[in-house]
Amino acid sequence: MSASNVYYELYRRSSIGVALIDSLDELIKDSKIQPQLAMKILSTFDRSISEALTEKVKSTRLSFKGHLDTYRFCDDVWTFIILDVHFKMEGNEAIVADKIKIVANNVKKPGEQ
Amino acid sequence: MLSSANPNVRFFGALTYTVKLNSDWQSIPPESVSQLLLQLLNWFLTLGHGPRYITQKLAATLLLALIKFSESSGSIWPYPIQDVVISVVRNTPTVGTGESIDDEAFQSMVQSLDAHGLSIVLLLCTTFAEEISRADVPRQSRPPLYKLLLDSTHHTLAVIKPILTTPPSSITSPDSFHPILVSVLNSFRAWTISCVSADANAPVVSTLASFLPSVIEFLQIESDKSVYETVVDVLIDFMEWADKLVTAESMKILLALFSSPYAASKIEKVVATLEGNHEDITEAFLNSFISFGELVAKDIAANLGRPEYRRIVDLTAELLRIPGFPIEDENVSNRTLEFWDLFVESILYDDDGTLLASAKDVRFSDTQSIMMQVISLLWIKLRLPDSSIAVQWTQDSRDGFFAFRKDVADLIESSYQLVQTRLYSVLVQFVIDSMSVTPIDWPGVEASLYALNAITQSLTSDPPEFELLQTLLDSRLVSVLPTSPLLRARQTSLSLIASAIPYFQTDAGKKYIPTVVPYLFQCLASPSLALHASRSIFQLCSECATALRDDVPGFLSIYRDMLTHGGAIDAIAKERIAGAIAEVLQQGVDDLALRTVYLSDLVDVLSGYAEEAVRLANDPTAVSDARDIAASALKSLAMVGKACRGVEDIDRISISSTLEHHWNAAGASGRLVKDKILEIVGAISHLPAFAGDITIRQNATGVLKAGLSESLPGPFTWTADVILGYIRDEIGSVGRLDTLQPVLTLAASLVASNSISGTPDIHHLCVQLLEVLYTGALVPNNALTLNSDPDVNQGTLEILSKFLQRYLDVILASPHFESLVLQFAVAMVTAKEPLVVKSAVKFWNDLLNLSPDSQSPAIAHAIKQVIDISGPLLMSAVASSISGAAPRSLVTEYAKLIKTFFRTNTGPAQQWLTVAFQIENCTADKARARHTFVEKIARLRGRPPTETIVKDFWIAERGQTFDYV
Repeated sequence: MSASNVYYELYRRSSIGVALIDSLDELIKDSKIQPQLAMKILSTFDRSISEALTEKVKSTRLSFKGHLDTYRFCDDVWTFIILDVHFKMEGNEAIVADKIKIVANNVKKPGEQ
Repeated sequence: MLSSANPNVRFFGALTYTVKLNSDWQSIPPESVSQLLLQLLNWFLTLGHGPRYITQKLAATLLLALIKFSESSGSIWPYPIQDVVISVVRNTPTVGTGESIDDEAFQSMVQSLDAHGLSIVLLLCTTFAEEISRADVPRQSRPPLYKLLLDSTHHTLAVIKPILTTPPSSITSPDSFHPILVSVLNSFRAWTISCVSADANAPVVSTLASFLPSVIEFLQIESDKSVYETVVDVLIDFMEWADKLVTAESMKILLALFSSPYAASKIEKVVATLEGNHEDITEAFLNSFISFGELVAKDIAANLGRPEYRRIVDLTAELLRIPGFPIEDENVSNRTLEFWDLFVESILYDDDGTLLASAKDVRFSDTQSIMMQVISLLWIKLRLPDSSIAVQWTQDSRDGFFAFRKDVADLIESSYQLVQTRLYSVLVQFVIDSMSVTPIDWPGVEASLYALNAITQSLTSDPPEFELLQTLLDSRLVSVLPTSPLLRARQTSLSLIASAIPYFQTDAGKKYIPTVVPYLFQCLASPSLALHASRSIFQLCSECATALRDDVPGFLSIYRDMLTHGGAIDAIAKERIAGAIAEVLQQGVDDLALRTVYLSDLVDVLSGYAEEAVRLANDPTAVSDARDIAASALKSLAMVGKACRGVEDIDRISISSTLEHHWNAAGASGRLVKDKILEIVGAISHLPAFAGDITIRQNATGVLKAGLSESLPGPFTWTADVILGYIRDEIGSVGRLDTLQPVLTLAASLVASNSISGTPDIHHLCVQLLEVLYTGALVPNNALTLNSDPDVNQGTLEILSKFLQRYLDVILASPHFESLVLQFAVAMVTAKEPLVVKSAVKFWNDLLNLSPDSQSPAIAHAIKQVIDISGPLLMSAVASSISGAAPRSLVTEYAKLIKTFFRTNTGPAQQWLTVAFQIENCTADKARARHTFVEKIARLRGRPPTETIVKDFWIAERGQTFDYV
């Protein structure tokens, strides 16, 4: 199996992913690159952002409490909808949210031959 | 390459094989697959005598081929383990034997294997199990591979069982036996875990699990570290799948093992050994001990009366006595925390999460004592290292140590449900005891405050702990803290004060506010404490304003000094203090005249600060500093403005006229304060050095916006003409258009504001605002060209949206209506910048969603006219965009617009979109596809799956096969 299939594509929907897609889209439209190259670049993006988030983002501790309203596990993806959530961050900072949704995917082993 | 004499080249050959298989396996015809497998097996056997890493790579390559071709060629190799054994015995590669040979014959073949032959068979067994369980094996390939694994188990067992069931006492040649045993254990572990993944209920899983007692026996082989560690690895992995793999018999054996004198002696040795210099196998033993504890934490909680369970609890607590700092010196205490969390949770809650225990429940007195002891031991572990020690730590050690402290804080918080006031009392006593020695034991004070903070932040209502806080505040703690050489002791005390705000709100707590607040202000002087201190001051002032009302003059004095001499103090801290004082004024000082006097003083202090900015701004070398000070002064004013917002339940009618006179009548004391605030904003905004400066504009508009949500007059509620004047000045001043964004946001807030809605000539002012925006921002911005500024365009669209909500009649009657709506807002639907398009789509969606029933007939008619005129233009723009011109991210936006159009104006929208598609010449096929698309959309009338259909249409028009996400 090629490494390109190992990483999740979910970060393509993030702001930076959307910006990349639009840029690639424009290049394809202007016939400056082939769609196959765009897909390759997006695969690289999937890998790089996954690695960057794992390795380069400083871990910040946060705890939260709330009422679990809904949970489901479908196609290896956990989804939790939590109501009346109180987040407690470092330095006693607190944030309150009426509703949050947590989507959790399995961490896959990336790109090993 | 595989024939090379150089082992590195041989390895590279194997690696190349893997890469090639990954990329081009589909090009191999099915009839050649067996040949390929045979070739790989041949290399595996041939190179089996060479370095291990090459054999391993070849085994992985062979298994990769098996996995790949299982996808397409079905059962190409039904008995892989059997064939490998046959191949090794006969020294001839054999692949694809059609039948399983009988058990006896196979057993005799296995027995004939020499040590080398056995080792490469075991290597293949391990690799086989590991490769099949890899996360990247395609989902569709798994069922046949898992079946193959389960079906091959009896062959693997035939290979490993003789070794696995050898009693340790009967091993006569450990030097030759132990390496094989390690390989067998690894195969056993990998194979069993893979079988559980394949089908946890398969009969072979029970068979494999029945060998665990034999594995545990090998713990006797302490002399060989690799055997011991491998046995422990098997145990830990099995414990993760306990319900399937740890049978009742195995559980009994493990419980006996970990509660035995053997376990106690191991832990005793660890505790007696300094700084992680444990004997080799101890680390492995501790790992299995802790894993077992986690496995049975729930049982322990339910059976504390049974000696073997109780012994495990006592031994786990004993582990906390290991000397040294967690992470840096020892890595054990941190690993026990998960056990304690599970233990406490199991005591407190049942399986449904219902609370079982309470501090008053006598049944739990034993558990309470255990947790009190555990937290006392952890208190020692919480202590900070001396600076001479800490300086030698790596960043990882530091991060790990502080993460450990937070985990302990979480445990303390969750245990508190169980132990409650008793623990709080002990921790308060720890503080007092740590202060009673000479010199003061500051790490002890800090650790106690840290633990107290973990509890205090979750206290609610008026708990008994508040009386204990009183004990703490009656001690000399607050008076000695400023002398502490341990900065973190002061930081932790600041966090504790912030957590104890509910206490300071009580009658008992209020009397301590005058003790605490000066300490907090004292901390402001230290740049590294100022942020913590200012946060606590702000919270204390906003929550306990009444108690602090008499201290305002003192605060003002300190604040003046802070702005004059506190150059190194963070600007955020300064801004918070301004807000904090204003909170006290607004909530704590009831007398309007007195409040105004204080507010005037506060504004004077900020005025002095702003003057400093003005002075520096005249010096070309100090403009940057001037900008920082000016921005901070304006931010502070905005903080004051936010704090001065009125209380919601105030009796509006009775005081409205009084407030109107006080804050707005010429010469009234309140009005004078307001004038001073405006002077500060004006003085800074009009400085040539800051003309068009976006930072200054952002902060100045923050001051002007502070009162826009108010419905009663106040110090920050400006009349609309004041704000309009500022907008006019800024739009007319020198500066780049792209710095206008804050001004446009202010204009949008003004339109939506409560405070101006009652202004008699509001319509006239709104007309003026539109005029200023049109002539000052849009015309110079050349808004209808592609080169216009996106921020200005987006800001203008937001203002237009606000006008739709509040003053629809003004915009419909505006002489610039045609330019603003029918040209500008239409053109922006196809702007280059995604954010502008989103704002434009929002504007049109808002307009289309306006209900005609809630409008006057004249306005409803005007709206219909707007839609009739703009509809064809918008549908033309949308048609062009979804035909491939739009970037991917905007397809959803255009789909939203189509949805709203077809929901609110189905018939005309269908006609407009049809016409828009007809303008462009296209092939008959394409025209048919477009017609079908419009028909589909019209049938849906804005319902799902309109968005998906639009997206699919965009993909088809692009001639692509993928949609990127």
